[in-house]
Formats: sequence, C-alpha cells, structure tokens
Amino acid sequence: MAAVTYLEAIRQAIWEEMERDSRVFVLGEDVAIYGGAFKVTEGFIHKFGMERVVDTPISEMAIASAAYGASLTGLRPVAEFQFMDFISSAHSQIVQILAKSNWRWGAPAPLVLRGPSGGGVSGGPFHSQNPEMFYVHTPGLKVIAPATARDAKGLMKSAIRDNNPVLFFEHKFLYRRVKEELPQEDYTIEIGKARVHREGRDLSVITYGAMLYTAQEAADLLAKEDIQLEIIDLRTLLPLDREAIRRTTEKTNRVLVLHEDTKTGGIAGEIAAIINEEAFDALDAPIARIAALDAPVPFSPPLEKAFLPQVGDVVREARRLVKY
Amino acid sequence: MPTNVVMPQMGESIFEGTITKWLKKPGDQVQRDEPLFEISTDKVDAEIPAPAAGVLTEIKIAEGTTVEINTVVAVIGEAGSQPVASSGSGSVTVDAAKEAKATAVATAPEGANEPVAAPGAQVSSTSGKEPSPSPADGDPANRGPEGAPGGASTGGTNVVMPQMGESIFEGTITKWLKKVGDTVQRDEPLFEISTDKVDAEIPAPAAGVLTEIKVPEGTTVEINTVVAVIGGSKSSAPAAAAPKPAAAAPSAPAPAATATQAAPAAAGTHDRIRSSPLVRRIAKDNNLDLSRISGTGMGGRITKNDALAFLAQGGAGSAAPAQTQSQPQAAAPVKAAAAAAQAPAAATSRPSTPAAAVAAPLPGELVPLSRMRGIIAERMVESKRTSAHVHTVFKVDMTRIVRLRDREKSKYEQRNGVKLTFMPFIAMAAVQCLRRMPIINASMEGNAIRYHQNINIGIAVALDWGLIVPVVKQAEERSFLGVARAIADLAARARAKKLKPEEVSGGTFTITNPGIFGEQFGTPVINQPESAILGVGGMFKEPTVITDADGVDSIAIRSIMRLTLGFDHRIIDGADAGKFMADMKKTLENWDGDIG
Amino acid sequence: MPTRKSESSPSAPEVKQPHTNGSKAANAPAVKRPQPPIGKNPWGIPDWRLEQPPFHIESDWSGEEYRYKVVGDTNTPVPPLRPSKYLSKEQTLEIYRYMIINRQMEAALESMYKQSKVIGGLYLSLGQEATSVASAYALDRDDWLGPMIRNQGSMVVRGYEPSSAMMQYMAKGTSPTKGRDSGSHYGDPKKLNVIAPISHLGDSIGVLSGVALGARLQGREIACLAYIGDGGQSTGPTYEGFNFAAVRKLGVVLVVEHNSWAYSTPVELQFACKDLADRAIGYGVPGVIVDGTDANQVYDATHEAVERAHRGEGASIIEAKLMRMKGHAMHDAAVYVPSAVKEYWQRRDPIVRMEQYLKETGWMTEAQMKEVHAEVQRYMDQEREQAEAAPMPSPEEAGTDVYFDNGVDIPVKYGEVRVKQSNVGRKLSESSAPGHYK
Repeated sequence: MAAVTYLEAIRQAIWEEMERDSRVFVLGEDVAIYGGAFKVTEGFIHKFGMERVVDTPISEMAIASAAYGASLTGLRPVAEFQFMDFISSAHSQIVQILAKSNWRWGAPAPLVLRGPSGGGVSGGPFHSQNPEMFYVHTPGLKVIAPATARDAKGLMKSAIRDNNPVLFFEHKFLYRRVKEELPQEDYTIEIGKARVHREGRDLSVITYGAMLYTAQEAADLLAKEDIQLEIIDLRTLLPLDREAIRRTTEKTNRVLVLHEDTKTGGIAGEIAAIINEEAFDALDAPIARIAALDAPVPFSPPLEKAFLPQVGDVVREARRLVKY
Repeated sequence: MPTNVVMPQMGESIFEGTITKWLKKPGDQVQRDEPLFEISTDKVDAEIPAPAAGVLTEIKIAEGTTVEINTVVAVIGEAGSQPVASSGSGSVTVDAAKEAKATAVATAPEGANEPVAAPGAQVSSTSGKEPSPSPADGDPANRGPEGAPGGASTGGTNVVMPQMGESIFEGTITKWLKKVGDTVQRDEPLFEISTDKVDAEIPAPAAGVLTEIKVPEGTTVEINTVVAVIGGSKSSAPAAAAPKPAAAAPSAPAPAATATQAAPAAAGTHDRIRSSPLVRRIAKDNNLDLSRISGTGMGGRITKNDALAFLAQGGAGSAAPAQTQSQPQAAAPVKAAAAAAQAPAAATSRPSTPAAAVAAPLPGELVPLSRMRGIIAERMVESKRTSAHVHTVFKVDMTRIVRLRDREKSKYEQRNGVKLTFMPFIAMAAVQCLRRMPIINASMEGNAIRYHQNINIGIAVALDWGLIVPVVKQAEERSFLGVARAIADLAARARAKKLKPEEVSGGTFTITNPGIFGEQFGTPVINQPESAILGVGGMFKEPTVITDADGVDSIAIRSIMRLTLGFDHRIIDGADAGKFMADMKKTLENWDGDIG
Repeated sequence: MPTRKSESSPSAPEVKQPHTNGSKAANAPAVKRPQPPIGKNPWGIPDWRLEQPPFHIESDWSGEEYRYKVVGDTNTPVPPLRPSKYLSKEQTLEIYRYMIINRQMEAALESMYKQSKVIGGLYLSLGQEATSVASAYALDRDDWLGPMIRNQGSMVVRGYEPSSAMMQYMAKGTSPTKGRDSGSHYGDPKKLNVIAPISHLGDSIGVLSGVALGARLQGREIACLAYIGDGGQSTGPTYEGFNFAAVRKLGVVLVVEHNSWAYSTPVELQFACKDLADRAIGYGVPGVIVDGTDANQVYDATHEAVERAHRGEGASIIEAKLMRMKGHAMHDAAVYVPSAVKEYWQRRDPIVRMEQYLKETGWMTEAQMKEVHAEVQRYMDQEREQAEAAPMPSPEEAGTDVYFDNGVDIPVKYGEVRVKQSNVGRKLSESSAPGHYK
C-alpha cells in the first residue's frame, strides 16, 4: 500500500467520517467547488452534495458561529479556517460561546474547527502562526496538533466523533512533506494521549507538530555521541497527557520541551509546571525550553530560520542537559 | 423571626449609600415590597422596598447617614412586635452621623443612648455591616468584635508570638501579665515568653482593651501565631469593647509543627551540596549521605549517575552505619577500585564528562574517566569537603637512620628476603607515636569520636593507572620486619592487581610517600574516614646546625626529610598534631629500634 | 388557545413546553378591522408606525456643561394600536397576560435586588414588553429564540417560568445554569430552543444562522428569532452573523430593538443612518419598521418574517422603535435622558396602550383586566417564594460539566440529513494541486 501524506490522511479522515455519519458536514471559505486553499476538501462536494459542503462568506466569526449553531441541532460540523492565523477573528465566538456552552447551559457542541498553522514556509506574520495556546488556556475546548499522517487521520476521526468543540491545528509545513503507510481499517487515536515517538535513555524531548522532526534529526546526531534522546509527541495539547509527561521524566530524569510556538506562554511552561507537580524528585537537571523567539513570525527566510528552533539548538541544549 | 433590612448594593462599584428618608417609623406596619426608605448613592437614588411584611421594630440608621452596603439599617419584626425603645436611631444626631461617614462603625452595646460627639464614634447600636443578611444573624448580641461593621479588620490589633532570633521558630507563653478586659497601653508588658534562646517580656503592640487571649500559658506556638487581640480604638470605650464571654476561653493553640521546624536546620547541610531532586530522592531512599559523594556534574554537582555509582560500590545503604561501627570504612579509592575489579561496570555507558568546562570545548582528545580515576576524584573532593584540613610540616634529621640503612641493607635483604627501605622506619615510628597519641588514630562518627583499637596503616602505592592504598592491619602487633614485609608484599600485589578487597579497607592512618620523586613536602588529602595522613617528603643533604652536648653549635651536612601531617581539625587540634609530629621527629632522629 | 394560569405547580422544576401559537395553531379568524395605510421611509423601507416621534437628541453645551437636549415636540398625542391582521382575541389576551407577567416579574426582581437578594446587576425592560412578548409569540415550537439581556418576556413566552429568571438572578443552584452564569444568560437547546445569550453583543446571531443551517440539512426550514439593540448592532459579529444568514437565505429574523439608548449613548451617536431597518437593503433582505410599544405591529411583522423563514425564503430585519424606561442596570438612574423624552414614552406604555385597545375592541373590561393583574400577582408570589427558597449551588459544581460526556449520543433535532444531489459511489482521489506554499 502506498504511503499517504499528512494532508491526504486528513482528507481521508473527513471523507470517511462523512461517509460513515451523515451528521458530519464541512463548511468554510472556498471549500466547495474549489476544494479549499490547500485542497483538503477537493472533490467532496461532488460526492456529498452542496448541502454538506458549504462555502461561506469570508468571516471566521460567521464560520465558527454557524458551525456551533448547526451543532446545536445535533450535526457534527467540520469547519475549515483557511489559515489558523485567522482564528483570532473568531476568538470571541470560540472562547465565549463554544467553550463555555456545555458548562453554562448544558448545550454540547460537537464540532471541529480545523486549518493549517505553523511556519517554515515564509508565510509571513499572518500565515505562519501557532495560535494554539490561546485555546489551550480555554477550558471547554480540546486542542489537537498532530505531527504524523497516522496521527492526523486517527485524531481527526476522534475529533469529529467527540462531543465537544475540538480545535485541530494542522501543520502546513508537513502537509505534503511527511507520508507513511496507514492502516487499512477504520482506526481512531484517542484524544489526550501522547505518543513515545522514539525511546531513549538520557534525555526526553517533549514536543509536537513539525518540531517532532527537528527533535528527530537532533536525536540522530546525538546518538553518535551515545546520547540517546527519548522523543514524546504530545499530539493533544488540551487535555495534556500528564501521565506521559510524568512517565518520561521518571525514565530519563532530564527534560527538554521543544515547540514552534513562541516561548512566553507556550506549552513548555505548562509542561514544566506539570513536571514540578508530578515528578519533581525525578529531575536530575533543570527543565529546558526551546521555542520560537518572542516575536511575530518573520517573512524573510534568514529571519524565519532565526525565529524558529533549529536542530542545532536542540543538539546544543541536549548536550548541556546531559552534562549538567 | 425578625428580618434585617440592609443597605442594598445599587451597582457593582457602589460600596455605601445614604439614607435620605425613612418612609415608615418604628411601630408602623409594613407590607413586603412596600417602600420603606429612600437612599442616595454615587450612581442612583432609589426607594427601597421592605423585604418582608411585619412591624418596623427598629430604625438603626438615621436619615442623612451614610453607611456601607449590607449594613443593617432597620429591623422588621413579626406582626405584633414592639418597637425597640432604645434604638440608636433616635439618639444619633445628623451632624454626628455625617461625621461618621466612611468611618469604621464600632460596636456599641444595646442601649448606648448618649449622643455621640466624637468623630469615629459609633453610629449604629449593633454591627453595621453584616456579611450575610440572613435573618438568623439578626441578634446583635451574638456578634463579637469580629462581626463589627467595616471595622472587622480595623477594630482589633493582633498580638503575635515574636521571633526572638533568626533560627527561632516557636516560643512558649509562660505568663500572661494582663487578662481579658484589661486596658493596656502601647509597650506595656503584656506577656512573657520563653524560647530556645531567650526569655522575654513582650510589650503590647497597641493601646486598647485586651479582648481575647488565644493562647494560654504554657503553650508553645509558632512565631507569628496570633496569641491575643487588642480590640477597640484609642479612645477605648470599655463598654463598647466589652468582650463576649466566649472570648475569654482561649482557642486551642496551633500545634507547633516541630517536623517542619526541624527541617531548615537539616536541609542546611544539603543546601551546600549541589545535587538534584532526583539525587536527593535516591539519597533518601537509600539512606545515603550526599556529603560522602563527590559530584561529577557542572560545578561538582552530584548527578544521578554519581549517586548510583556510589550505591553500586556499596557506598551507603542502610547497612553503612553498622559497617562503619564495626569496621572503619576503607580507604575509598582502594575500595572502589576493588569493587570495580570484581564487579562488571554496572551503571552507565555514556561518557562521563569532566567537571567544569561549560563553555565551548577546547580542542583535544576527550578520554573518559577510568573507574578508578572517577572514584579517586570523588573521594578526594569528598574528603576535602568533609574534613577541616590542616597541615603541619616537620623537618626530621634522618642521618642516623640513613647510616643504619646503608650499613644494614644488603645484609638485611639477604637475611630477610625483603629490601630495607625507609618506609618501615617511618611506619614503625608512626605506630609507636600513634599509640601514645590515640586521637591521631581516630575517626569522627556522627557526633562522636571513635578511638580505634588497632593501628591499621594504609600505605599509598602509586600505580601507572592511578593510586591505591593497601592497609597493614594491626601494625601495632607487628615487628619491624613484619611491617617491612607487609609493605613490600602489599605494594607488589597492588601493582600486580592482586589485592583482596579486605586488604584495601579498614585503615586508621595513612602514609603517603611522594618524596621519592624529589618533592620537599606536600599537603596530602586525608583518606576518609581517617583523621590524619602523613606525607613523606624527599630526602635531601642539607647544611644543618648541630648543637653538641656542650651546647656548641656547628654546621654539618645531614640527611634531612620533611614530614607533613595532614589532619582533620574537627577532632585533632594543632597542639596534638604538633606533639605527635615532635614525637615522630624524636623517634626517627633517635632511632634505636630493632629492625630484625 | 388556553391562557396559561398560575395553577401550574410552583415546585415543578422542569420548564414547560413552549406553547404552539402563531398562525399555524391559530384557527381563530384574524381581526377584521380596517388597516391604516402603511407608510415608507425615504429608502422605501415599510414603516408601520402610526406616528413618528417628531424630536431627536442633540449634545448641547448648556453654559457650564454638556448634556443631551431634545429638539422637537414631545407632546404629540398617543395613537391607538394598529389592529393586528393575524391575532385572534384569545391570542391577544395571551400576549397581554405575558406582558403583565414580564412587568411583574421585573418589578419583583427590582424589589429583590433592593433587598440584596439578587446577586450582581439587574437589567430591566420596562417599556419593552410588547416587543419581547409579541415577537417571541410569533414563533413555532420548533423555531429558535436568541434573546438579549432585556428579553425576559420572550423567555417566558418560550416556556420559562418567572422563577427561572429569579433563580438566575439570585444565583441559585437550581437555576437553569445551576448558578454558573448570571441573570438572563440561560437557555435550553433541547426543548425550548432558546440560545443562552452572552454578554458579547451580536454573537448569537451567527449561531442562529447555524441553527437554521443545521435544520435545513435535516430538511426543515425554521425561523430563528434574534434580538439586537441599537447599540449591539454596531458590532462586527452582528454583521458577520446576519450576512451569513442573508447569503444562505436562512430564516433568521433579526429584531433590532431600537430602545433609544445604548447604556448612556443615544442613537444619534451610535449610527448615522436614520433607520436601522435601512440596513436590510445592504444585506439584501426585507426590512420593516414597527412601533415597539405596539404589540400588534410587532406580532404582525414578526409573524410575516417567520412565515417567510418557514417558506425558506430567508432572513428579515424588523426594527422596533421603543424606549428603555429604566437605566442600563439598577445602578444607572438614566439621568442623561431628558425628562421630556421619558415623559413622552411614559405616555406610550405598551401595557397601557394594549389595555386601551382591549377596551376599544370590547375584548376586556377594566374589572377583567384588574383580575388578570391580580392573578399574575398571585402567580408571581408563588414563583418568587419558590425561587427564594431554592438552594444555592454546592461549591463542587464549579468545575464540573466543562466537557460533555463522549458516551452520550447527541440526537439530531429535526431528522436525518438529506441532500438533493450526491454521488454516493464516488471514491476519494488524491488532491490535485499543492496549496499556497511550497
């Protein structure tokens, strides 16, 4: 069976869910006949009809609102934001109405808001952001950020089947860069569970999204020095897999958190706090953070490279921690 | 059940309101929601409806008075209730009430009827502020000073157990000098305490009436515990501050948390040792004394691997103390080496890294520490950290022994099969002197000194790959020849890696002889847990002033050697060290022993 | 159409099913009375009012400070109600009673507020009862309501007992939100089809667009009644949410409650167009202006818009011109409103006008009306006692229900999803072009 890209894995997940469950439908800008800016929903309208593949005006506010409204009637909308950067235009709706819905008035909101996020493609400050932490800070939401094709598909299916509002941060850098063979059968991956991407002995790198591959390259380099990295792919940011974080800390006693989001207020701080709470006396070195600069995402390649964490940053920091 | 009527909160940021008009007077019948009074606030004027039907029994706040929200302004009794005659409302003049605006409303007894002139005096006859407007709270007599309106926080001064010294965490109240209800002046002695360090009389922090004693005599509490409350204002109307009866009964004192108090002192030792949360856990679980481990991490930090390696060598564990008692710890490097020789490397395969060197590495080959090297490094640092090292150097004229040895060495070797070196002379002299000065042959164990029964002399042997210290056990029972043989044998077997574990442990005093390389003298590091080490310097022919029996001085060429005693000042004072070394000098210079 | 009585068990915690009223249930003939002609504003928007207030507000420097000044005549006579084209006598009486419930409920809340029983702010709708009640009355059971803070009357029409609002305002554990949200912020997605409003103005409009879209996927055209104020319509979400409905021809009926003051800001400082219904032209939907103190006009306009929604013809805007007779909340005495304006609107009290209408039509005597007031008062006393006796929430409820259980199936409200054209056998083929970026 041929390997499937990250993007195709997401397409398959939504397609198969729409086949399986007529309550599932998609809406967003340019999703219908054009098939979406990144072609995630290409061909969907011909199979499922225009009622279930809904083009919207350019208004993330309206998209989020309409998805929520439809979910109140028992449907399971999958709404696309052309770029996750524009989620800020729907911020009020997401954090005020969707997230509080079940708690406030017992109105569950089974919907998915998905779209491409992340940098590394010279998208500039409005097409490269990682806005996930605004929503990780919002109780009532679930936040997913897969790194592999297999996880993207399994988690998208879980997100669609979940009874709560799920924000699904795809990584546009990975869309067509990573591929792998996927299981033939229908499968899901549980939300809220991290994955050990690589077993290691000396240091745990906890990461998610495209940074998984940065961690992997660093691990390959460090292996030559007999420094064995363990890599944890969080996959879900809310709820966080506290158990996995604790487990790997107990195992290697040294933790480096790596993410593409900016440093201040990034998930690394939360993870450091969790380790403090759950595994403080398993630590043999301070927890290190590698993240993007506390700056907007720059456009020009040399600037963006300086902004984003690089393999060398991980290697250097890993060496320091192992020596510590 | 009477219903309290309170000043409503007419908006989120509104904290007080003024009663502009009473629409009913005491004794009037009111219906629920019937307009009862009018108020004015920063934001709005409003007519306030009665919360319940009944008889307006009491108006507590007069027209024109501004009170905080939730202040009880009136009471509605059940139908047929009589108005309260002594209501404060009739007695408060508008002027006084205006002055009372925004002033903490003090408590006053029922029936305090005199017009109040002083600003800050009470406006209402009961507590003005009532956190919970539920009718059950309606009886003002049940309210103590804490319930006082607005003044809940300002109405009393807390008296706390003072901290009488930095390391004092608790104190015992030995005597109260005042009783509840007494008026005290600021700085007037209030109670007496006793702490670890000091007994003291504690003055009152403020003037007023002692309204509550929370901690009775004889009770020990943590510092900063509130032990009493001085209530009321400076004017101290005694009646107003009359304590409720319950206040006299001291509340149960907070138990002194002795465990946590003990912690800082104990933690203090660990603070000086750089480790990690994990290492501290390992230490705790295995009863490890981290001070005995030297760290290989940055800045000498003890890492997980250091701790595990130490454990793997049997360096600690619950058995350690017992072992130490019955048989003193071996010279550490030796023991480590032996352990390494016998057991396969257990812990880690990742390259250990030298301490320091945080910055970019300089070019050069990076060679991992050998097991022995690592242990030596650890032991040496540990010793330096453990003992208060002091060194004393004595010049010894060895001419007499040199001559003896020159005369006897070939015959000696023929006769005994062992070379006659200087080491047995020095060792035998040390044994004799140690016998006369047992403190040098002792170890510190916790808060005690162990004077060893035997004299077990460790002899440092330089190896191509490091250093090892085999031990001549029970040297005090050996002859010169026996000691000489033992030294030769142990040194030979050390170089052939043929030593047994027990031969590298249990020393009580160590001799190291770097003098063979020509040094003047050194400052050797004590081999823990011993308390002294003798460093043997090089032998040099030196012009020396000789004084003969007649007291005539002359200069002669003599064989001079410098001996250094490194000693642990924790248990060995300089005088003892000096006496021991003087004895050594005398013994060696006047050698008359049998060499066998 | 039976008039609901207060004998409904006061201890019953469950909210009632919404009544089924409006044209579909009403078999009584419409009132046969001559209809005064319907005018149009300069942009061609129908204006059903029988009078247009001949004054406006200006900011004025009165020598020492700024204040609002009335320009024009405030002493014009009060017109009668416009006779309803659709309401039967029974329906009219029911609306009348709901308006009294609305008012008495808020009077009780005001007392409870001043007695410190209400927690937090209290937002009243005195003078707005006709718009709340008559518009909500035009909805069918399957339709949805998106109330704003002052639409307590609409909530009662949908089936909430006044005790629900009271418990909400008293933060009781048995309130619809179990004490989690305040005041009017409650709703019910299952039976009453009421969106719980939030404080952010206009956010519910797009939600109702989605509700209508969801119903359409299930083969149903429903009406979703959203309210927005003259202040709230300034927000982006109002435009974004309603534009979506307009584009997709979803049955959102937007009632713009032009109550003249957004907190303290007069409409003259809120928007530049003369009538907010003009915006219907920009949205491409029908717009209409009604007198918001005339329950008949409000009902008829809403009824027509609801019918349009049920036919799948899309969204509508109804601008109801009225006056908020109280301050923004209880702390606000609304002193910024010139007294002449207050008096003008006091003479146009929607309940008083309705009572005049009932007298003129001969549908009720004064004695009967008094009895309605008394009956509602008894009902309200029961409701109030029930609400006051209700327990406060237990603290452990603070953090529960943040997420909904995944083990529970969420049913569709209107039935199976249906599509007109689809290609069931089609397989997913790999997507064609790479996206935006390399």
